[in-house]
Amino acid sequence: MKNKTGTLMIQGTSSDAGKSIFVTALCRIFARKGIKTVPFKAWNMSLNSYITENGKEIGIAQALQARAAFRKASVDMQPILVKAMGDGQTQIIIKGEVDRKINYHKKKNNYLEVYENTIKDSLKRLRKDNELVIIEGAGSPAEINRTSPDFANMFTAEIYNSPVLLISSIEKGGCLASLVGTLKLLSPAHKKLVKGLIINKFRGDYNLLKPAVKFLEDYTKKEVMSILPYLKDLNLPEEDSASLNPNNYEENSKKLKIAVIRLPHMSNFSDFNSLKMETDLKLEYIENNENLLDFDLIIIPGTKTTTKDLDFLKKSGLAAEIKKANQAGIMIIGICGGFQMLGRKLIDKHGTEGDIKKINGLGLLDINTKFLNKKTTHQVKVKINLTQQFENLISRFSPQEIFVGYEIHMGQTEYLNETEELFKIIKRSNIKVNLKDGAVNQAGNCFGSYLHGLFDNDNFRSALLNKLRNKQSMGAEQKSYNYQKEIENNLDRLADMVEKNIDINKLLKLSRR
Amino acid sequence: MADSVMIQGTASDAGKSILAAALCRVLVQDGYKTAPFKSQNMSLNSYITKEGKEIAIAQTVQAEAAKVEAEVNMSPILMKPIADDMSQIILKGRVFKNMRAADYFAQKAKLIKIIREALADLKLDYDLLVLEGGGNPAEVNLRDKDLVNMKAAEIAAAPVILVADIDKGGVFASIVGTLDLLTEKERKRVKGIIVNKFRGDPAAFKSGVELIEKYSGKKVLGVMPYLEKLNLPSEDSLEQEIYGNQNYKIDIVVIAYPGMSNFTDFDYFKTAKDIQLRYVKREIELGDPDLIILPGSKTTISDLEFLYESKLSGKIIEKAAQNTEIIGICGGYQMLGQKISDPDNLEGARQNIKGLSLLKISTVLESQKITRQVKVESLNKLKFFKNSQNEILRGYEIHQGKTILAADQKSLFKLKRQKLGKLEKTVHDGAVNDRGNVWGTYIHDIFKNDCFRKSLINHLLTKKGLGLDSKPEKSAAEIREDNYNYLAAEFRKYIDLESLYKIIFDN
Repeated sequence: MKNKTGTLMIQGTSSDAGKSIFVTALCRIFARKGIKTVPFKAWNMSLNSYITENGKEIGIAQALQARAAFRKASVDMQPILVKAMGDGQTQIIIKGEVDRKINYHKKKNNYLEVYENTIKDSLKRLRKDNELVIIEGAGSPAEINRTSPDFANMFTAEIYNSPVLLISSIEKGGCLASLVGTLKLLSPAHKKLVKGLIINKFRGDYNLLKPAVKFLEDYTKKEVMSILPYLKDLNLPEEDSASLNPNNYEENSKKLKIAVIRLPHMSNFSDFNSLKMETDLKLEYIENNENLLDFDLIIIPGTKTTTKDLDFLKKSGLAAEIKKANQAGIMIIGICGGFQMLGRKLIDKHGTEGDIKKINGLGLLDINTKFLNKKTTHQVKVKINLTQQFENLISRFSPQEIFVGYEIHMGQTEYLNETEELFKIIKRSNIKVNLKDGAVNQAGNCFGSYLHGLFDNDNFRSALLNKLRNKQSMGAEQKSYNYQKEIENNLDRLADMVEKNIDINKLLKLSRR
Repeated sequence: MADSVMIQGTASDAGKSILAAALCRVLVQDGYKTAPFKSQNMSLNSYITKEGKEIAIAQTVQAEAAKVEAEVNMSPILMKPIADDMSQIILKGRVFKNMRAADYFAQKAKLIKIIREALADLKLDYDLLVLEGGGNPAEVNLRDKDLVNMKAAEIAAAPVILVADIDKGGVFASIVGTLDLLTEKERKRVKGIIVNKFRGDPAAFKSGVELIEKYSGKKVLGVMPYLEKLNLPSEDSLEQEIYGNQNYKIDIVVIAYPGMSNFTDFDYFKTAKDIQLRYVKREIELGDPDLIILPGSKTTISDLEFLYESKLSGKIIEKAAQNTEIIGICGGYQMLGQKISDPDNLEGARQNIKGLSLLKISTVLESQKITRQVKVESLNKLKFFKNSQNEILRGYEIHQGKTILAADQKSLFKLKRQKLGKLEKTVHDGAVNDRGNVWGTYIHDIFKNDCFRKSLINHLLTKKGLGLDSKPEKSAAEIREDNYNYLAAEFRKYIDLESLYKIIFDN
C-alpha cells in the first residue's frame, strides 16, 4: 500500500538563504531511500528555463531538483514561470506555455483565479502520483508591501497545510533577527504552518551558537531542526546571477579563452555551465565595449528580448568588435537569440520582443528571422546535416551521431540564397520530424543554432574545444569530462553533506502529518 | 561636546561602512568638523597614523571622507585574526597580546574604558562623531559580549540609524526582527531607518516605506539606490578575485595566502586602465603574469609554508629566473629572503624556515612591532625609478621583524620614520637582486605614490615592448575624492537630511 502522501515546504528569510539547493538535497536524500519524491515550485521568476519532454517550459532549478529525485521534469513541478523583459514588462508562462489570455483575464479581473487554479491543479496531481512533494518558496514570505497574493509562499503552503521549514543564512549576521522578524510579520495562521527553523551556511564555533539556538526555540516556540554547514566546492548549475562569476579555471600558460556576451536580458546562461566546468578554459562574461581579439571563441547567448539586446550590441560598439574578431578568424557561436542576431534581418511585426519592428542583424549568417506570436518549446534530437562543413568547422562526426538539446524561441528563421541548415532535427518532443536548425557561414568560423544545452553533449563540447586547442597548439586531443556523471556525483555529495546534519525521519514524519 | 550619530546594520553587508563615509563627507560639506569612529574592528587591513598607531583601514577611509587626519581614537580596538580562534589584539594602536575570544571578552571592563576614553577625546576635538556598528545589533547570544553596537552607542549617547539591505529580499523581517530582539532601552535609541541597495527608482518603494514606519514605529530617512560605480577600499574581504577589464596590457598577480594582510595596498592598480589585478591562491591559477606581488602577512611563517605546500614557491622561483618582475611587501619581502627565524616563538612552534632565497637577506621576528609613517628617499637602485626629481615617497611600516642584508646586498630606500610629523629615526629598507627584477620593501601604500606607480607600470609596458600611454591618468587622491563626492551627492539626493540633522541635534 502506498504511504500517505507527504508534503514539506522550504521557505527562506531572503532570496539567498539557500532554499533551492536545500530542496535539491532533500530530493536526492529521500529519492535514494526509495521514496517517490518530486519537487514543486508554484511560481518562479527566472530567465533560465528548461523544456520538459512534452515541450513545456519551466524554471531550470526544478529541472535539477527533479533530476536529484531521479525523475523527469514535468510542467506540474513548476506551473507558473515569470520572465522579466525589462521596463516592468513580463512574460507569464502558465503550465509551460506563454499565457496569451493574460490581458483578457486582467480585463475580466479573474487572472488571480487562473493562477490559483493552475497551482492547485498541479500540486494536486503531484500529490496523487507521489509519496513526497518537496515545495520550494521564493524570496521571503514576509514582504508585507506586496499587493497580490504570495503564490510562491504561503498561498501554496495553505493548499494542503504543508508544514513549512524556514531557512536563514547566518553567513552575514542578522540571522536571528530575520527568523524572528519573518515569524512576527506572518499572520497567526501562516505562522502556525511554520514547523521548524534551519540555520544555513554556518561556520565557526558551535558553542557560541548554542545559546542562540536555545533562545530561538524558547522565543519562537519553533524547533531548530538543522544547522547546515557552509556548502562549498559544489559544481551544480545555479539559476541566479551568482553563477556569472568567472569559472574555476586553471590558469596554465596555455588555456582557452571564451567570451560570452552578457546581453542585458540574457537568458539560459545555464547553457555555459558545462563549459565552465572544463579546467583549461577561462569563460568570461563581457558587457562593456572591449577588444575581443584575445579570445578563442565568442558566444552570443539567448535573450528574452532579442531586438532590444541587438540594438544594445550595436550601440555599445560590441557588434563591431564581434565582427572584427570574426574577420580575424575567431570563431563566433550564436545560441537561440544569439543565432538570430548573427543573421541579416530580424522582423518583429507583432512587437513580441519589444518596440523595435525591424532591425538589421550582424550579417554573419545568411538568414532572416521573423518573430511570431507562437513560442516554440521542444526537447529535440538532431543529426549533422552538412557533414563536410561540419568537419571543417569542428570535426568529423558520424552522420549517425545524435545531439540533444531544447528549443525555446518565438522566431522562425528563413534560409537565404544557398544557405543550408547545420543540423537536421529528427525528433521534437519525442515525435519524429524532419526540420532544419542552425547555419554556418562560408568561411566556416561562425555558426548558430536554436539548441540550448548543446554544450552539455560531451562529444560535441570535446570536439569543439579540441578544435580550438589545436588552433592554439595546445597539444594532444583531450577527451572532455562526462557532464552528466559530474552532475550526478555532485548531487550525491550534496545529499551526503546535508543528510549528516538533519534528522531525515523526523522530516518524513512531519511531511505526513 | 560633540554630538554624535551611529550607523548600525541588520547584517554585516548592509552597507554601514560606505554610508558612514557618505555621511562624513556630507557633514564636512555642511561645515561640521567630523570624526568617524568604530569601537572594535576585526580586520587584517590596517593603517598607521601620524603618531605611529595602528588602526583599521575603514576608519582611515571615513576620515579621508571627513577630510580629517586619521587618529587612533577613531579605531581604538583592532583585532587581527591569526588563527581560527586567536587574534592579535591592538589596543589604542599598540599590540596588547594574542588572545582567544573568551580571554578577550574577560577583559571587557578594560575594553570599555578604552572605548570611553577614545570617545571622550574625540568629542573634545570635533563637532560631530559618526559611529559605525558591526554586524547586527540583535545577536542575543552575543549580547553580553557587545562592544561595537549598542554598548558603544550608549557610551557615546548616540542616536542610532539602522541600515537594512533590500537587495536580496526580507527587508521588512530583518528590520522588525532586529528591533524586536533589542531591549526596550536599546530600541528607543534607534531613531531612524535607511533602506539600502534598492534596484530601480527608490520612489517606487513608497508603500514599503509606509509599512516599515507602521510596523517599526521608526522614521524611514530614505531609500538609497544600489551604487555600482564606487571605487573605495573594501575593509574585510575581497569582493572579487579578478579586477580590471579585458583590454589590459599588464597582468598583475597578488599571492593571496591565508594570512594575507593589507591587500588594500594594491587598490591603486584597480583603477589603472592597462592593468588586470588577480588574487591567486593556487599554483595552477598563476599563469604567466607580468608582475607577481607577495603581499603582507599576519602569519609569515605559516604563509611561507603555504607557498611551499601549494607549490606556488617553485613557480615564483621559476618566474623570477625567467625575468618576471617579483615584488615583496612587508611579510612578502621577508619571504623573498634566505631565512626567517622566530627564536621567541612569536608565530608558533617553528623557529626557522627557509625563504625563497631570491634576495640575500634574512629576517628575525621580534616582539617589538614597528608602526610608523615614513617619508622615503630612493637610493636609485631600482632600474625603473631613478627618481630624477628626488621626489619624496610616503607610506607606512607595520612589522615585527628585523631584516639583515648580506654584505653585498644594497638597500633600496632611506626611510625617515616620522612621529607626529617629526623625524624620529632614519633607517635603510628594501633590497633588490642583481638582475633587478626581484625586490622587496617594508613600505605599505608605496603604490599610492602616483609617480612610483606610474614608473613601475611604464617599466612593465616597456619590458613587454608596448608603447607608453601618454594620456594623463587621475591621481589616486583624485579618484578617491571623486568617489567621496559622488557618495555624498547620492546621500543628499535620497536621504531626508533635515530629519537626520534633527535626530542628531535634538538628541
